[in-house]
Amino acid sequence: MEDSGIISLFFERSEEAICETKRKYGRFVLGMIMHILRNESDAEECENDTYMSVWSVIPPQRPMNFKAFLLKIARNQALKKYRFLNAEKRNPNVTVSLEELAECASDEGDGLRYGDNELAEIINGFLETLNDESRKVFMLRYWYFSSVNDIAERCGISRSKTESMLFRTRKKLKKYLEEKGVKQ
Amino acid sequence: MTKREIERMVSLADERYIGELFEQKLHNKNRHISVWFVTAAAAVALTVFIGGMLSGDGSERLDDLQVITMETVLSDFEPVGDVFPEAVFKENIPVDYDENFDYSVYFNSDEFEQVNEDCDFTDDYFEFDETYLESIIPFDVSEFPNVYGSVCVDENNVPLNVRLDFVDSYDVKDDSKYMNIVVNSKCFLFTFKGLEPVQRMGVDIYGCDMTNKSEKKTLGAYFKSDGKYYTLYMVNMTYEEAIGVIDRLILSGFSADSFDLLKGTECRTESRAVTLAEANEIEPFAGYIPQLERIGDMEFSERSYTTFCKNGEMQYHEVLIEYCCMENYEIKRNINAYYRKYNVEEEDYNEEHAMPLVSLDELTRDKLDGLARFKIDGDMSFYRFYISIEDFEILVVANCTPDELWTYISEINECSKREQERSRQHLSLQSSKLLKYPVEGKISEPYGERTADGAEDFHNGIDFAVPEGTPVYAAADGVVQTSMNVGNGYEPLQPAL
Repeated sequence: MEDSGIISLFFERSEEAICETKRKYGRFVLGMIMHILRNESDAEECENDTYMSVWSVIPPQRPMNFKAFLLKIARNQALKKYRFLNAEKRNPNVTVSLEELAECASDEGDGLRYGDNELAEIINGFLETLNDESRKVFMLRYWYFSSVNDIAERCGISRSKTESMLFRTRKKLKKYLEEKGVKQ
Repeated sequence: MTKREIERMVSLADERYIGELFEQKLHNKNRHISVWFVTAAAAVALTVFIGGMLSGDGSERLDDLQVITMETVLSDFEPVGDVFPEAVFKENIPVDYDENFDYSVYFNSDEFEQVNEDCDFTDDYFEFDETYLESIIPFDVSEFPNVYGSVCVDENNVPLNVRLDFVDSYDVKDDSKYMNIVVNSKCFLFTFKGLEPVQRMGVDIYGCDMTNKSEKKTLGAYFKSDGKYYTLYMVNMTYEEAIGVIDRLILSGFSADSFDLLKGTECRTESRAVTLAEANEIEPFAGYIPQLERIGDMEFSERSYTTFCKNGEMQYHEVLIEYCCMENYEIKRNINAYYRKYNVEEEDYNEEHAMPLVSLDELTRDKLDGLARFKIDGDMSFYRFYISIEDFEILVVANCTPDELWTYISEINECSKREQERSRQHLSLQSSKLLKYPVEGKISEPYGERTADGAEDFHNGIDFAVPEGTPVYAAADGVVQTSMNVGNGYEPLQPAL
């Protein structure tokens, strides 16, 4: 079924919508979640939460890119769940990715002073400056939480190239944030 | 900016960047020849493309190939200095055209056009006129029978490399099985602009997504034995199956006998029979399958690959349909239909459109003759024509006569009516996986853990409290399998689900 068809089903409040979504994108969603949670029963639960959450936001939202929209929600749900689960069985990919990313931080503390719109503008502006390959590697690492090995395999490049690419991209991001005159 | 802000920021990345993470690309660009290994029972395709010369006691034809020696080639092939000042001549190099080129042209020793007609894969590459090709290929290919080659050029038509394969092929047939083995006696590569080919030692499987090893794809493997290079193409196999094939080859020591092993290979992939609803899940065709209902009983297998052309990527998706489940039909035939979808501008495949095209509805016996092109391949004759369904073009290849084919098509049309009806029923049964509450009422005991009389228990159902006599409805569409009185009324219909 076309994405637009599925979305209309959501608008009609037809439960068919969830079936269709699951049928078409179930494995992507579960894949995304498994990446973060590494546990089938947690993942399944989280998958259902994802559909539930989609159900509650469409309508009023009408996503342009349904697949990406779905994955975004799945990611958020999985991260939420991940944080909720205890620290012992942490997935090193997620922890390490987040730590690496934290290198770009210029401020101490844990505050949120930017609105989502501002943040989205910054990150998309940054991603725009990257070439296709490093953007893909960056997104795989920090958005999708892939391991460096997975990324290397997927992109057909060596592990060390992947690592140095990530390193350079992080440096670039840090510089980019500074240049953008991020609020102090 | 704080850690948390950065984390939050990354999660807000635009959807288009997320979308590009999941674009599947299959490195399958150096397809010079495709070869089918078909069994009647299943649409099984095992393509074997052997690069390098076979050792051992092969057939005479294999020995003949040795006539082409390095000396012959070197004396006859003189790179044209003016055209390619930096040309480097290399011997026996397996090439992985992974990157750095925009599109490629394939040619052979007979005629450029002939490649264009006969080889499915090359149609869309054909962007040059003959004169241009002659000017960039540094020798006269017509002097060399059985030469297949390809030229990779960049966007300014500057050649990056020229690859030549000296090939011969023979058919292995045994009743229902058919395999064409292409023996590639030499492979030469001219590289330009300092572009170095990738040397591969040992066995290297490519084309598979390592994150999903059970996915069936077209896989290739390069390996080297006794100083010779082999390339093996395996169509529609999983990673494990491909490993199996290669193991068998390695065990056999890569002699000509290796093919006997492959002949009865158990490593082939069987296409699975699918219902229309399942077929709908086959990714590139999701949403289109309902239009294909007219195909009737069918088995699907699927391949997809990406190639490059002037205006960008061109993606092919093919669904191999075999229908052999015809009732009362004794002789099973293969009819393979290829569905292609292009994501490029129309002018890029004008060549393709030069083929006559009609829709299945308009197809008549007379028109079929006009559309058909016969191709004799050994003792097997393949009959092919293009038809269209919406924006798909379908290439039908069948190993039968036009009359037989027409019979099939008539059956297909008839079958499709039946199938449509059946699939409608099937779909409506499948339509709702979510159960609805069978009664309207208060839930007295929910699903899950509960404490019954102080003991822990798991409640496997949902209890509703309703007045006696309340109608109970089916929670979903279904067919009653059994209905019996177990002394307490019709037990399965009690509200405790």
